Amino acid sequence: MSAQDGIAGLGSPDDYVGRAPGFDAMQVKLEREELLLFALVGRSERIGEVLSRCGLPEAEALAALLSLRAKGAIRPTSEERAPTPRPALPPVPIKDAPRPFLTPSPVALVGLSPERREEALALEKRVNGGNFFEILGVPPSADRVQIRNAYHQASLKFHPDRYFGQDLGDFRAKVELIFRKLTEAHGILSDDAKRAAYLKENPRLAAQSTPDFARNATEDEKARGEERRSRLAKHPYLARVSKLGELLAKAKGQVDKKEFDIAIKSLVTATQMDPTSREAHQLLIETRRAYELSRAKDGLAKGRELERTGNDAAAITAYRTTLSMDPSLGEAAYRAALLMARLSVDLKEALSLAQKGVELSPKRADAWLALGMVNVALNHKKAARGNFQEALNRAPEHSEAKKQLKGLKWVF
Amino acid sequence: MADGPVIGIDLGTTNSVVATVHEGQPVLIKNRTGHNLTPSIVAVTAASKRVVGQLAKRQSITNPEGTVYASKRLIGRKFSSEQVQRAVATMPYHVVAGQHDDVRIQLGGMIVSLPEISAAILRELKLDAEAHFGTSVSQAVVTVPAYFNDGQRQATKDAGRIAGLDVLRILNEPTAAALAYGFGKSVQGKIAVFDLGGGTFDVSVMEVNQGVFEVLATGGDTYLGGEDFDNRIIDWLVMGFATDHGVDLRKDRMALQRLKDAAERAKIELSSARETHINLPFLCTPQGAPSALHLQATLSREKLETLTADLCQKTLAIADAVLDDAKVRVVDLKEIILVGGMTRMPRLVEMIKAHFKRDPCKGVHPEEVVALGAAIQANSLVTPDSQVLLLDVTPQSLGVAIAGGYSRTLIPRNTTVPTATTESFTTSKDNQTSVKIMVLQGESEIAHLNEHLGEFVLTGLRQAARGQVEIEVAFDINSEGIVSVSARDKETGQLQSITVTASGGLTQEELAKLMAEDGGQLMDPVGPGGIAAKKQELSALMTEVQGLFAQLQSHPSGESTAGDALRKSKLALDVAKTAHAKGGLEAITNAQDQLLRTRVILQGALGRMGPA
Repeated sequence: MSAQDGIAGLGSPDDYVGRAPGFDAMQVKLEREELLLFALVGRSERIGEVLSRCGLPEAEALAALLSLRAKGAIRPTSEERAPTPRPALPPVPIKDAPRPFLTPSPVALVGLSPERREEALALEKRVNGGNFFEILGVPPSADRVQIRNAYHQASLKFHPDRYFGQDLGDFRAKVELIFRKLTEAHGILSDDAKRAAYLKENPRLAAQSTPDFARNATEDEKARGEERRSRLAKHPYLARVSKLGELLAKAKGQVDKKEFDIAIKSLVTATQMDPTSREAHQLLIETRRAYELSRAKDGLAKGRELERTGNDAAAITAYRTTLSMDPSLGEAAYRAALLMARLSVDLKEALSLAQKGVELSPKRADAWLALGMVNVALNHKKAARGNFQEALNRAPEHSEAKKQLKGLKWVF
Repeated sequence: MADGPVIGIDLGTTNSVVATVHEGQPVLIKNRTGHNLTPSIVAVTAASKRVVGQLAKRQSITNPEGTVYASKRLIGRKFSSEQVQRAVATMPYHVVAGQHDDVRIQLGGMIVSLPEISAAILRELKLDAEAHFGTSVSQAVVTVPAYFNDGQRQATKDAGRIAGLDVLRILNEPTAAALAYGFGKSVQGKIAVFDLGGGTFDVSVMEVNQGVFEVLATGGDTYLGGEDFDNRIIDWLVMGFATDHGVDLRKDRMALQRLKDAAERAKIELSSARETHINLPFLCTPQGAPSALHLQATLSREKLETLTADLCQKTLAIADAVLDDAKVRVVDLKEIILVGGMTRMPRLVEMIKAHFKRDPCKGVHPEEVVALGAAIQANSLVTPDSQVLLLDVTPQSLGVAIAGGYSRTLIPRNTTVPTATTESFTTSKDNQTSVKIMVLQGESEIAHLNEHLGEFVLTGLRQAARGQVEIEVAFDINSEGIVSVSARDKETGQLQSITVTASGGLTQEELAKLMAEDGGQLMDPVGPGGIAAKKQELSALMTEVQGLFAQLQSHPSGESTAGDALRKSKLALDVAKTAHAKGGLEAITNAQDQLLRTRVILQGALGRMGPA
């Protein structure tokens, strides 16, 4: 716009303005200044003349004129200054039967060049009857870039902002409607899922649409998802969370493989990394427990092995450690007690161990036998006899118990 | 005369800037003190004189209660909202509730609405522009954070109207920045704008194509900005001081104001220096202490970075979410534009660089670019066939409340405007003859967690079993961003509609009154006329408190659980009655204060007890 171009959307002071036909001053609220100027304008008046006659400061008068213009009350009466037309959209064949549309209104349209007006009418026809591809003026095989470009080109012509404050008469509504439809068409055709759904409803269009469009789309989606995950992984907090998750999963795998000591190591790291993680703590406790139980079982086996090879003292130690790891292992208790009774060492401890053994596995004859033997060693013959009896009750053919009972009887 | 002067205004949380397009090029307009930035501060001095901008900032330390800063954080919000309540605790000036749960500020003996505060700043900028052009200026584009909701936008528009500006358009700040960045260049492709300002954070992803600037997605946090970084420093200083001297500086408004100033300065210095010293001599004199206490501290850049690490992380997380919304990959981005003074922080730049795998754009001035973009948009609106076109989006989803207290979205966020949509609903109860259409804005599925924009009732429905009567609800957002909603009974064709113009906290009458008055009078000292106005306010407040009082009294467990509150309220009401009858400015002000507190107590008590 050049400097003497003066008043935006009105023209230079030498141009003429007039009241817009069909404008009802009663229906639109006009400010005081606006009313004054509206009265001055009449059918057609030179802008400079209006400005000098109104007696208002020039800037105020101009503002009022502009706002009158924006409200559609006045319009320039010469049409020579119409904006240069843009190249029209390529015509697109209309396949569906078009609905009848309104004939162009006779009102002079200030903001729209004749070419633009015709374009608007043609587009309105497509908007009312055509499919989304036709609205945007693209073939059904158009890819996303083509659709986007078409939408942007059409927006440059039909976005209501292009005619801000200009009087378009009944074309204002048309332009608004056209732009909404353009946006809708673009929104659906540029979204892969929506485009697919739309094509499904319109199989005739689908035949002409490129088959690989959808494929590209899902790949694109995948790439985006991947990138997002890798981005998230770098985020320190999220990275910590994901590392934690990894560690926990690894630990669980190791537990399944009975590699308890390695699992515990990972879990300790996990709890240090995020001391607030309940899951890590819980898992650590459980794993430690499982580790002890498994070690206890190993200890028991080791003790038996030692016992078999005759290394009784070492076997007792093995059973003792086992018990400290898993106090519920009755077998370890009575076996240790039996050995102690045999070796006559630590008989007091042997007694408590034997009692524990009986308590923990009351159905095992060996447990009763061990208690009996300890009692024999402690010279509690009466108690011992009862114990052996119990052992025989559980295993009538228990030779050792029979022998011991016999031995006691012999004393009587 | 040049093209009818239109201006673009960046109404910021801490600073505001005004610009115009001169001979096709966007240029800044310096204010009358010769600076590009005008502090967004309004104050009423002890002599009841109103000052704005640099002058207001200069006197803020000695007049903390009469100086309003960061008012943008409160504009268009509800007083009861969590954000406002949090802000009230840290602001040295007095924030009170308005009649419609809006926020007002007590300033120099007057209660002032937020749009009036913003209007004072806008008027100052308008005067600067008029001094620049030598003619009057009446048309402007004003920017707001992209994530501002409808209420906040309306309130900003109201502010423009009060200031005598015809606000052509409310423009999103990141969009404006992108416009300024891409203007006059042959940029093609997708760009991201990362806008961390004084009080708000916004991210927008846009596509530029042959002069069309299309917003693909936008998002942000209207409560994350430089102020929060300052507050972290203040917290750190206050904690340190409390350990050293056992004094809580937060209770001393003047000390708090000085801390705020020092924190902001330290933060800015640390953008270029590795370490800065904070010296605040004679900061406070606790009761009984022999002499005043001084504050001396050294803040290193590393310390600042640890204090604010989570804030920086938060911005990146939001940026990621917006990229996802826009369906744009980092590698697709052509440029990252940094906007807002906070983006000068070296750590943040590093993080952005690592995150987006590219150097952010250095070609734009982070504090000026938004105003330039606003000027470009203003110019493009009034120029036929201009070079640029903006396709903007709705920042937040719009919907209606449905049965069960849920929200149903009709226009999802990031939809290009103007747009329209319709959806059918049915009645939820047998023989329901009317439906209430509540228009909501926000992302929550729970109705009441969204912003309530307005409501209306469609009556005269046919009596039928539930689900039998169909109602068609239509939403429309025009290019001005004005939302209109209509509901139609499909059977009878009966129609009800509203245009959401609601509440920037001011009623239409109030706004009309403010605009009718000469703007300059808005915050004049309380004269004889002022007393009448105050009396009116007081009586309105009395009615309100009386209502709450009655409500609490009639509550079955009211007397037992809140007897104390009831007795106190009764007292406050009596005091107010006497003050209202006798007059006297001080008495009225005191009574008002007391009633405001009482109201909070009563509301709290009622809230705890729930419905009777």
